[in-house]
Amino acid sequence: MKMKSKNHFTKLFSKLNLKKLDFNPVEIFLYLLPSIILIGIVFILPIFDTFRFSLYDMHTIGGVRGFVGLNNYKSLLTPELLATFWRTIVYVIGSLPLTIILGLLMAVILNLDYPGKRIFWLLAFIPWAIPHSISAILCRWLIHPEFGLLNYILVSVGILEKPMSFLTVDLAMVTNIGVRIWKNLPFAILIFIAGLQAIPKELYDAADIDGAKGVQKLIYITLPSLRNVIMTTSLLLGIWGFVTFDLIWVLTQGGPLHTTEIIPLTIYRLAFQQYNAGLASAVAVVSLFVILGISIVYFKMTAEKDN
Amino acid sequence: MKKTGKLLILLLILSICLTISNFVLAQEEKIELKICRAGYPVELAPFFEEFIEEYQQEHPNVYFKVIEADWGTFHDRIGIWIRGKQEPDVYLTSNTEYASYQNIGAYLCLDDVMDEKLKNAIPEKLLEGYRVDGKQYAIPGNAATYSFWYNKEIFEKAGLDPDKPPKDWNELLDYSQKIIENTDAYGLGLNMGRPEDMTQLIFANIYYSATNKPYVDNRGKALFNSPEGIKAVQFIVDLVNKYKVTQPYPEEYNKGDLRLLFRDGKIAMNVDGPWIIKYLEEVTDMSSRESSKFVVADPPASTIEGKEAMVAMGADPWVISANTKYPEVAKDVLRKLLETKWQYKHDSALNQNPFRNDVVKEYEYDKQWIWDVMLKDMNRSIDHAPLVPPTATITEVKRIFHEYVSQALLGKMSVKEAMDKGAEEVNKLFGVE
Repeated sequence: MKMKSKNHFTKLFSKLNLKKLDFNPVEIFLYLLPSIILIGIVFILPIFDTFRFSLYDMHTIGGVRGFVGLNNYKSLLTPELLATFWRTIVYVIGSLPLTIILGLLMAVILNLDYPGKRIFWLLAFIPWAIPHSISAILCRWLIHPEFGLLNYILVSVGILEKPMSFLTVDLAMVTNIGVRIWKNLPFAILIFIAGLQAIPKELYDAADIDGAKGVQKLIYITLPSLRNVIMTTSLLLGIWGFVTFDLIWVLTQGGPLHTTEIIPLTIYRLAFQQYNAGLASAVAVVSLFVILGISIVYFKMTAEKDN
Repeated sequence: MKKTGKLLILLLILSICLTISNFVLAQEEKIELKICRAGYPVELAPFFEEFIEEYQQEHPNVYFKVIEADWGTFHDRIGIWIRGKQEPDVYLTSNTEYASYQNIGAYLCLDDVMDEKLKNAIPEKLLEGYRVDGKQYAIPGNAATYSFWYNKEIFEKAGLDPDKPPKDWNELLDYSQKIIENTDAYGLGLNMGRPEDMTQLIFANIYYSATNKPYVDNRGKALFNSPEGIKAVQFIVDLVNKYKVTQPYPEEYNKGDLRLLFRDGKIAMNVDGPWIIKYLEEVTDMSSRESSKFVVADPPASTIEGKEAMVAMGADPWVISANTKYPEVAKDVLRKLLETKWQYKHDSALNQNPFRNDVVKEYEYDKQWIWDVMLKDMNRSIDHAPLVPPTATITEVKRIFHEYVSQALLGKMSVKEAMDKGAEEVNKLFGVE
């Protein structure tokens, strides 16, 4: 057999125990080049431009008006914008635990064998199939004080005396969190089912022999085995929460009185209603670093635990 | 030599062909114009077909691409189009979008489109709003008033005279209370869902009737925190919170919702433009005042001395893009669109009220009984029609105003405090004291 010089890719493939391949790294790079260019244009370039715009006084339509350095970042230190960051954290953290707990519970139930299981699978995944904006419109109609089915049912069964608003100053964020949980449950269920099915059956067999009950199996086998899956799902749902726009915009437009305005809505409002692209870019950059920071912390935590 | 000779002959033939083709192309230069009337693509499709057919009979080398966009699509895209220099050559925009892009030079000057006939046909106050430094940058293509509507059947059920609408705020409140007591309907529809809706409908009518002034002056200085403005907002807040004569939770309703409630007899009185007619026609015969259960009437006056009853109104203008490759052709197309005949066809296609003197003189419209009231509303309100300061976006003004009215409505602050804070923010936006 011809001996090839060891290079990075050869070492990588040999670690994977694959048959040694006769390849040229330059060739590999050329095959990857179209994707790299596409990602560069669609992903890297806009990020770079956002950094650049954040240093300018820039009208969204009219263009650059002058270099301002870090002034846009200094403008972020207002009570209103700090409140927006806080609301974003509330929105993300408010929806995460329930999504994980309910997702896990439903995954365990859906993973069992029983008649009519497919129907429950279908029902569980319907929210995932509906686009965010349509979901928000449906929810708006559902909870409307005059036209909504929910109020009609609650009044009919006597829980409410008269229709109530679910989008008041006090309830709007709670409603938005509820809608987000409903939308993200199917994703959590899907990931957890995949995780459950990857757990070796022998562990449960061994537990049965040792006389373990259902709850004990859940605590000592299922949850530890799903730890990484839970952490990854939480990270993904957390990041998506930070960038949610359409769900909230269609439901409440950030109102009433900004009580549901989170970072993406603020960026939109600054860029496309106040036409201040510079300030909007600064908010976006800070938001990016916050998400990166959370991701780095997460990866460090998981790496330490793996070690 | 032979080869050189052949080459020379080839070059000669090529140059002759190029010359001929350039000549031919120059003769038949194809001009493609993009045209857009935002808001009603379906209703206006036949209008544009007819217009284009007639225009092309006189100008066969002009081709049109009709950009279809409802208002939502138009609002979302116009900024991107302008930024990318891809906007239509000739288009009708909203008065708020006009203001947003006027200060970045998005439009061509239309002084040479404005002939004497057009100047006499369109109310001066509407033209004034689209003039900068004496130059005309937009010409109104439609103007609508947000008039006062009420349901005769609900009035009768409540023991009110169906031919006597409320003439002032006191009667408005009194009627609303009687309706609440004696029927299943709410007295009045109030929408606070979106800034642009709030600043057009019942809220706007009450405000204008109290102040006889717009929300901001020519320079952008806020006028809504005047004593009359505060009184108007207080009246609205009381209608909702103290007297409870409107539908509950008005902050969840936009104007589309109110149209449905009014059509279905859930609210007795509403304010809306001519666009409500197509909803009301589903449940009643609107060919005459007698046959229709919904009628339009004079707006209730405020109880403030010296102030006249007024309505909100808006005028959406035609503009020509400053980036158009064919400015003279675009101007010619716009001149034709603004002819009396085409203005009439445009209004009829959209079931919209006439606003031009020349069209009103020459043509009779369907539902003239409605247009008579709306024209009267326009004439009573036009001197105080909201001016559009070209230096900043009016959308932001409406957003600030809406936010502070909401604060007052939801009890977060008093009306005076809310109006003063709102005024401070608006004045800061325009850099005025």
